[in-house]
Amino acid sequence: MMNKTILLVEDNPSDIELTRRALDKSNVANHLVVKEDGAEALKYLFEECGNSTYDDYPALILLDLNLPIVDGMEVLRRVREDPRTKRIPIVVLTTSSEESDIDNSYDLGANAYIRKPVDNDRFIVAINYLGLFWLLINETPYRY
Amino acid sequence: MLYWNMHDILRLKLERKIELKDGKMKRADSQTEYGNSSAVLRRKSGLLPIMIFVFVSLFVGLVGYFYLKHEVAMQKARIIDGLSSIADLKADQIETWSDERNKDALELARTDMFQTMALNYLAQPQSPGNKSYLMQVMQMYRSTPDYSLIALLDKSGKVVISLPANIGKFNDHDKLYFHKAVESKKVALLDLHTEKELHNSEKGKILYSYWIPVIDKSSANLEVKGVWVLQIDPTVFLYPLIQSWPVASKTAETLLVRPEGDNVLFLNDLRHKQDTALNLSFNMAKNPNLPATLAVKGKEGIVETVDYRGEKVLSVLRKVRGTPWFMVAKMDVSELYQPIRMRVGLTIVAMTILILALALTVGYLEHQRDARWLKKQLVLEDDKQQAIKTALEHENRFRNIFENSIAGTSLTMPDGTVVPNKALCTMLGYTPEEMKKTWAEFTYPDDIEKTQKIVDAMLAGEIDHARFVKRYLHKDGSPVWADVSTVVQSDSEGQPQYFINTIIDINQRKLAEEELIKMNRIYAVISQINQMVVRTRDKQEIIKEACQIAIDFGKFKMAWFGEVDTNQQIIKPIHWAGTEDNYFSEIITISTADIPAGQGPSGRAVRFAKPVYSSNIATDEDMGLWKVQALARGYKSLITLPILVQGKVDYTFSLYSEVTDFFNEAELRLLEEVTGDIGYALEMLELDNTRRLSEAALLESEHRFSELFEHMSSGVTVYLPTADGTDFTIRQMNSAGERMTQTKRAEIEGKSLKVIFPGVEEMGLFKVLQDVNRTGIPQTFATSYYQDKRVSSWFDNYVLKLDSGEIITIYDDVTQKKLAEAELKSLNEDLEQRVLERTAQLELANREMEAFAYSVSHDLRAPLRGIDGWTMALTEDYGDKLEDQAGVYLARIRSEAQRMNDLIEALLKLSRIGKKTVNFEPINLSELAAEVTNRLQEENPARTVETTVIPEVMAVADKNLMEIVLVNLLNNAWKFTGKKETALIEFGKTEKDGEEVYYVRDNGIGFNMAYAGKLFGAFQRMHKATDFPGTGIGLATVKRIVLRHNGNIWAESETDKGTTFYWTLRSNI
Repeated sequence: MMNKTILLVEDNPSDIELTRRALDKSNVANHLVVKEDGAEALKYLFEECGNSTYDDYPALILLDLNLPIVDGMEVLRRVREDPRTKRIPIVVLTTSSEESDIDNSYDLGANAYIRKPVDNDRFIVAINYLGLFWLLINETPYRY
Repeated sequence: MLYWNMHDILRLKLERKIELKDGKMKRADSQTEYGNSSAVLRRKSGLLPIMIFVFVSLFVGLVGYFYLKHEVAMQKARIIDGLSSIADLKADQIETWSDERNKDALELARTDMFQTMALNYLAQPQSPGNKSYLMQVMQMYRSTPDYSLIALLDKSGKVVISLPANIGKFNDHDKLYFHKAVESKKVALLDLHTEKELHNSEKGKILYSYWIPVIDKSSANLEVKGVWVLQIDPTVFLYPLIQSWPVASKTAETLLVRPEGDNVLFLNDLRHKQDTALNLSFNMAKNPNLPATLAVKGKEGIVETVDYRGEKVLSVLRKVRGTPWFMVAKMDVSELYQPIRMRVGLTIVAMTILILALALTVGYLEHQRDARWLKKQLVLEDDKQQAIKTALEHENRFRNIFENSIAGTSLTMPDGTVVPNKALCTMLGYTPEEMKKTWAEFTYPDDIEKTQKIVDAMLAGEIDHARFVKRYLHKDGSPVWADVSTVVQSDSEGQPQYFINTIIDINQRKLAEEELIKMNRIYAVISQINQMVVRTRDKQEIIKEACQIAIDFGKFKMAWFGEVDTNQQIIKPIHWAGTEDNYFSEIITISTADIPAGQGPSGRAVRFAKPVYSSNIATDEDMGLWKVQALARGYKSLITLPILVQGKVDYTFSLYSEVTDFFNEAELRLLEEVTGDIGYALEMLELDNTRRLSEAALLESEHRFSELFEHMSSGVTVYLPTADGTDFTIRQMNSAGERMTQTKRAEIEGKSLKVIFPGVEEMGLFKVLQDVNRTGIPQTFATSYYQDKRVSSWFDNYVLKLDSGEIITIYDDVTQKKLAEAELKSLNEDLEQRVLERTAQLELANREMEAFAYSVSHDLRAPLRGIDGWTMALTEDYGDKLEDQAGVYLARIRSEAQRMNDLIEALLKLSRIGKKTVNFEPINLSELAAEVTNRLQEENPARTVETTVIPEVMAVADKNLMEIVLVNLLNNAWKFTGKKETALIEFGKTEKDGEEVYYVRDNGIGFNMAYAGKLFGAFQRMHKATDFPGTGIGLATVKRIVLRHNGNIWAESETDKGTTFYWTLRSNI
């Protein structure tokens, strides 16, 4: 189970590194795949993952909303539309605390919505719990 | 006859003497002797007295004849005068009446509105509007009682509508006039005729009708679409007028006739013959002298011929102008002389008496001379002694003769004592014993002086005999007229010894004379009053003149008019003439009730509606209440005549005579006639008056309305729709209208609306006028613009239709108002435009602001997170290599980053408030405030704060936003009381300037009011951050929320004493 990958879609390098750092601390960082815009993320999911001989769809997608090229909402919608990826847990991880962003995310099928706090102590705690919850405690679907 | 006795006494005396002297001779052959002596004793009488008698009798006879002839001529003139007046009066009234009927018919023919209504109805009888208009017109006509029927016939002659309804059909004869009206297109008149068909109430009636064509003026050849029929019932006015006769008469009557071919047809029922109306006719050629024939032939004036009954009549003929009728007012000749018949009789009686008296006088004088001659013979024949002796001897015999004489005879001694005979006693009503008086005691007081003069003259020897008429006084006090002959008897020395009087009662003759005078006076009164009522048109004048005539011509002592007050049951004297001497102010009020005060002649006359007289007030018990006052003024007898006006006793006319027994049945009958005349005149006047009063009331009301019309501040114009309905004629305009339309009414009245106001169609008012004209429903034509070369104004109009068909517009010039409105409107539009622009700018600014805030929240926070993250990473990874102070700085970096994040967060909240829709609902602010203070207390358990929340403070506001307000304000209060030992915080509601004001009060450190202006600005802080940390955004947010509730917020504060925030919410507005 610990081999499962986490897909992080994030364009801010500082956030990427700090996320990776937080995941390291909870020992799940070696499975982290980072895509820096929506288009790349979709390309990865539908072209690279699907061609593998084994089941290599990410066990969790951490998705920022404010992305270049294809924004987070579009990515979320496309992932949920595709039968291959529709069951992958997606956690929206973003700076926005706009009500509309939160509601829209859940409407499109996000499993959780986490606002990135400025206080990194709390961020690390949140990431730790995320990793633990989605990768270790939560029972993933049999097939994606 | 009577004085023969005296003569006989003398003769006997003389004979006796002769007998005594020639006794032997007499005894020898008495017959011869007597015959001889008779021859000796008779004086030869002359031819002269007979001649005088014949001449005087002839003279008296001639005077009487001419007097009667004159009286007859006068009477005839009076009757003709009366007949002519009555004929003129009636003819005038019929002409007036007929004129009114003609006008009514022409009105129906010429009034466009009536024509249009009839046309509309004929075209569309099922339309209820058409029918109701028509019915109104018909009812209007029918309200005149003369019209028994009004009907509308269609082109075929069928009755389409009528009042009364369901009248059946007209007969063929009537239809001739229908066709006449249709063909001539003019009003056709069907004169008096008997209706043979139609419904029951009209059938058999005598009628008189107008046939009035209904012409469609819009059709090319003025086609007649129908005919109106106006049927007149002559029994309503015409016949009663003809058949009434204003003066009491047994034979007088009026007839109305018209030519009918060769005949003359009688149009009304007659007095002397029944069912003559339209039935009785005479061939004119065969009856050329009938008054009716003469009238129809065109003769006017007075004729005396034989009428339809064969009676000799006096007639006045008149043509009734404006009608085919002729009028005959007539009276039987026999009645003509009725009133003077009595006078003729009396005159003849008087003449006879006069001639007889003359004969007596002549005879008496002759025998007087004879007696004197005999006396002389006696003196010559006899010696004085013997004569006296003989006279004494025959005293008894003489007395016997004297006593038994049927004429009144008396001897009067020089001292005045009288020796009467039986006849004189009887004449004066005394017994012989009672008659032992002086002559003056039984002479009528007025005649004493006259008698005394004669007595004195005889005593003085100036005359030896006299004959005169005087009045004696009857025992009952009444005068007795007598013809007195008196002779003085003197002794041989010429000394008067006694008077021998022969007294003949001529009372009856005198009374007859008086009666004659009385009758003459009463006739004069009647005649004068008759003439007066014909010429006088005023009630007061009639009453006044009637009284004066009674005094001037009737020689009454007093005459008065009383008015009957039926409410109080009294008779009020309203006018009097003659000797009144305050009689009416002294007597008790005369009543008409059956009580003592109503038993006088006046009271009874009113109750019985009959004349009542009292022939002797002094002895009449019914006059008891008024006797004293009446006698004091010399009233001896009276008559009261009731004056009937319209069958009711309205007045009394009373006449007082200064003699008793003045009134009897003959006078009563004559005076009754006067009563009828006055009553008739008053009745006519009353009718006249009623009409005049209603006309005056109408005039007054019209005047009032025309004043109103003239002085209205609104303009008013009266229009009459033209016949074709395509235009309106201006009838009238008031001065406000002149002003508003800048016209002169004199120039526009009678002109066409379209010509005077060419812009009226464009304005739209013309269509409204037409609508109102068609529907009759008033309309308001609100502010509309009118323009032509003269006027350009805005008007408010109100249009209505009158019953007369006229259209009225009432309008106000609202140009000024309209201009002001337009200005206001343009200002508003301008303002609106500016507001729109401003709003758009604001919205754009808001959107930009939101985008800005959004990006701030994302993009500003990312580097912050980086700063914090990497600082933490440095601390974690290299903390052991750094000095302690470096660790403190790194912690500072992180806390500053955190503060910045808080600022960003607060800014975001502020920006969101502008975006949120405000959801107004009733909320309990007290509950919210309590929740917030409770939470604050929970979060800060160490603090001791006394919080007071006034309960049940309600507001209509957005609950979430109010929570933000309360959180901020209470947080502030909490924060700024932090350094107080006993913190007091209060939330509540108060009232300022009539407005509800909410407040949060604390006893905190307060602030300097000089800086209060900065209080609600974003990032504005009043205290050092180290003392009281905060973002400086809270109050800005609160203000924003209050503004979004249309409210206002302000603070009152004093340093170290505390602060109160007040805010208002006008959510309801």
